[in-house]
Amino acid sequence: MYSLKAMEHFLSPRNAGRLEPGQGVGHGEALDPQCCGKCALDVRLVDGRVDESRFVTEGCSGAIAACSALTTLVEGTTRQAAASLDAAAILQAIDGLPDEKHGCARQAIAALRAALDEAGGA
Amino acid sequence: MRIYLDHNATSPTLPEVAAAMARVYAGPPANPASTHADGRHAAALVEAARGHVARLVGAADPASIVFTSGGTEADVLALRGTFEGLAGDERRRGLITSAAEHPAVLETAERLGALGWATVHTLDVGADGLPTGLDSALGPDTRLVSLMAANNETGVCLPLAQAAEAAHRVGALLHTDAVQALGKVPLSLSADGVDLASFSAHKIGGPQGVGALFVRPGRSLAAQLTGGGQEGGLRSGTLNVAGVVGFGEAARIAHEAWTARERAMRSTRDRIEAVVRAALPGARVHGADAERLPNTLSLTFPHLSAEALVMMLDADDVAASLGSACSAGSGKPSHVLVAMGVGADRLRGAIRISTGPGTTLDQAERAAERIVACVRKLDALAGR
Repeated sequence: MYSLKAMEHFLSPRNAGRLEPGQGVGHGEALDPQCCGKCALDVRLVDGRVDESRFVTEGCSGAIAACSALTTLVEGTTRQAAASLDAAAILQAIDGLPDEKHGCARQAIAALRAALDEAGGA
Repeated sequence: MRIYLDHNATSPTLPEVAAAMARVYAGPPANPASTHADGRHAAALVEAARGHVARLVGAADPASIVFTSGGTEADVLALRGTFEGLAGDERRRGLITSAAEHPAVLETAERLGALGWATVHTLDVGADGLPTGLDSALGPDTRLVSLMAANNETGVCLPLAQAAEAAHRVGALLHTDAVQALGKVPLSLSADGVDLASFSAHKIGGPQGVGALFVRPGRSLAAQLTGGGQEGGLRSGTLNVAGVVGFGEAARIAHEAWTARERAMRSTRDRIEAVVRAALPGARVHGADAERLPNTLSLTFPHLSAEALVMMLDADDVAASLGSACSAGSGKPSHVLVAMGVGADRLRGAIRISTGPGTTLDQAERAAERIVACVRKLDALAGR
């Protein structure tokens, strides 16, 4: 069963789309061919903080909800705080996902970490 | 108002069926094996239902209909019952089936192989959804061929008379899982030479928990439920009289209102298919090149999650299915589409639409528009 918060993120996702490449912008991708497909997450770092984040995904409902929730979690946080987020933080933010969808949250985190790496220490 | 497009999973119980069942529940105690008047009344109700089901499936002898708890039990009785003890012919261990069969057949065949009761040969499936290589797989050791009359995911229909003739050429029997074909395509089991056929009531507006196995007169099976010897000794246990009566009523209506029901299913399915294909060039219909059930539409979209699509449609009051209901939630791609060679880019994006005799053209139009809108929304989320 999906929680109301997860359904809300799935049906009305926040921060869908891409960021234009530029100073401090990092792009990360993760792939789960079975369930979530490909998801990509962009971050823009300004003065050591995540100023903006966007996502695109070919994913299932869990992937959409997880990516959407993650973008809301990272915006405004320090780079360090964003890098320390894990799948449990996403699950907590949306009151959980079905067990078989926990991989969606892990995939979103993998994409975030890749994006932060690419963005560097801006 | 919700639009229900998952009739291959289960269908709405017809009001006449519910009324007939309610009369049984409100009536006297009804064990058709009892010799008193109440028992004889129950037996008469069961025999009337048997006649309706026999008429719908083209069974010349109503006694060839054995009531079961559903399609799965009928499949298991057909397969295990054929191979248990091998009926005195140890040389015939061959069981031929196909990769696109329902799990009730595939899993049972696998079990028979593991038990050493059968040597299982699984036919490949062509891009059109039909099994390939039957003639070359048949041999003097073949005991049973089990191929579904219509596929639950794609609706692709098997030419039954041709399959029966091929099986009989080598002295084998033909079993067909006709759960999805029932009430949707004409069946002439006796004339076509089919030996065993499985059915379920709830796919045609009857109750869940009731089904039947057609057993051609003269074919012997080992009972899988033993006890009181009901149903000609093939299926012991007190009959679910109300359920059987409901099945009979649903079969009667399916037979008598055939033309209108078929037209409604086909016209609404065709409308959805036409609207979706016109609006979404990436949509592909599977099984479109073969004879298909009039109500079934298997659609895939490239690089799209069908799970997300089905959930989005659900929130938009359209009930569709992810592949088949039986594999939904398993996280595995449809074994039917895999067998048909559908590419990996589409396997995650497979949905099944199945209309019913009560589906209206207005509902079909609205559902098609919502499918198009949801696919576009998911495409946008994917950055396309």
